Amino acid sequence: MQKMGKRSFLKIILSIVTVLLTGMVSWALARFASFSDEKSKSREIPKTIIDQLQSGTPYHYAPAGVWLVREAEKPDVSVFDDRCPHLGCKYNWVADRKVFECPCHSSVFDINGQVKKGPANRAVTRFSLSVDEKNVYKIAPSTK
Amino acid sequence: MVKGSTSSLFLHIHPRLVPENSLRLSFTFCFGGLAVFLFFLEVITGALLMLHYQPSSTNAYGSVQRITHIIPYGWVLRNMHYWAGQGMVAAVFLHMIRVFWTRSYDAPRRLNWVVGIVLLILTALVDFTGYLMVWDDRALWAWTIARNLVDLIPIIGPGSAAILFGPASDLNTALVRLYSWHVVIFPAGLLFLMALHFWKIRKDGGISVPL
Repeated sequence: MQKMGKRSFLKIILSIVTVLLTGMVSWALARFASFSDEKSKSREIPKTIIDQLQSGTPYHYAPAGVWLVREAEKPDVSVFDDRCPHLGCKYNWVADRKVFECPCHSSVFDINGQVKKGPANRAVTRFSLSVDEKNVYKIAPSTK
Repeated sequence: MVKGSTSSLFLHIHPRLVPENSLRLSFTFCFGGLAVFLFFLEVITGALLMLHYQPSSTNAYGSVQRITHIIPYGWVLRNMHYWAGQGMVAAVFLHMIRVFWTRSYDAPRRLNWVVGIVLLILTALVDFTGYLMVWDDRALWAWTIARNLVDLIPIIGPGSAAILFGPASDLNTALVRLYSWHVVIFPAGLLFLMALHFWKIRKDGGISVPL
């Protein structure tokens, strides 16, 4: 078997890296360009989940990547992006202390999504929730 | 002189013969080339963002939020577009400081210096109109203040404000106007003047050499 030279070895490695990077970027761009709301069923929340929400107890709806919070003594439901606004880790609800806490850098948010302790420097991202005539709840970016 | 190549597009970016001194990184700091690179990055990421951006006063903010928080990889493209824009303004500004510092604006490059000033103004304008595309409170107030400032210019003010910023009473038409400036007219102007700028560099005897 012929011995591979340093130059040809580097050429092969570089070609593999280039092909991999091009593939990754093309895949990401294709996902970005082909996105449509019709396809994203995960942005819909079943009515049964909305009906079961209890005030003061946030519910994590993982398929849509959101926390649902029924506001106290109000019929409104707040929808929070479940990623921490600091660096995008998924934060958890700590029932004992009634706060959301991020496992990565310990940012703490109150039940309304406001920052109680950094390093996050802004409230969690809110989505708006709309209901259509077929009683389907859909999440959309907040326009507030 | 260092010999370049005409056999490849990338190697042909520089002329075939380049003064060795002007290739020193500490002379040019690559600010001009960096600005061009960032411009093309802006064009690519901007074209992709156009696939989901909706230039209407009721949907613009929502579509930006949708790009940022819902559409896969939208936040990467938006951040790249934002930071490349900021970087481009900085690169063009630093490039001008370098040209001024090394007296490279002197004859025979006087016209190209003026072209460079217009390029800086266009870069600032495309950056400003980009800031307005989000159409949030900050953008709306920036638009209001800039419009009122232009409106105050005697004689030509009201007409110029209407042309540049669109009608004050119809926000939808105003946003479409700003969108046209941002994605077509200013970039086209930049592209044309960049071509002129590079052609003049060659015509004026290549890039300047250290004094």
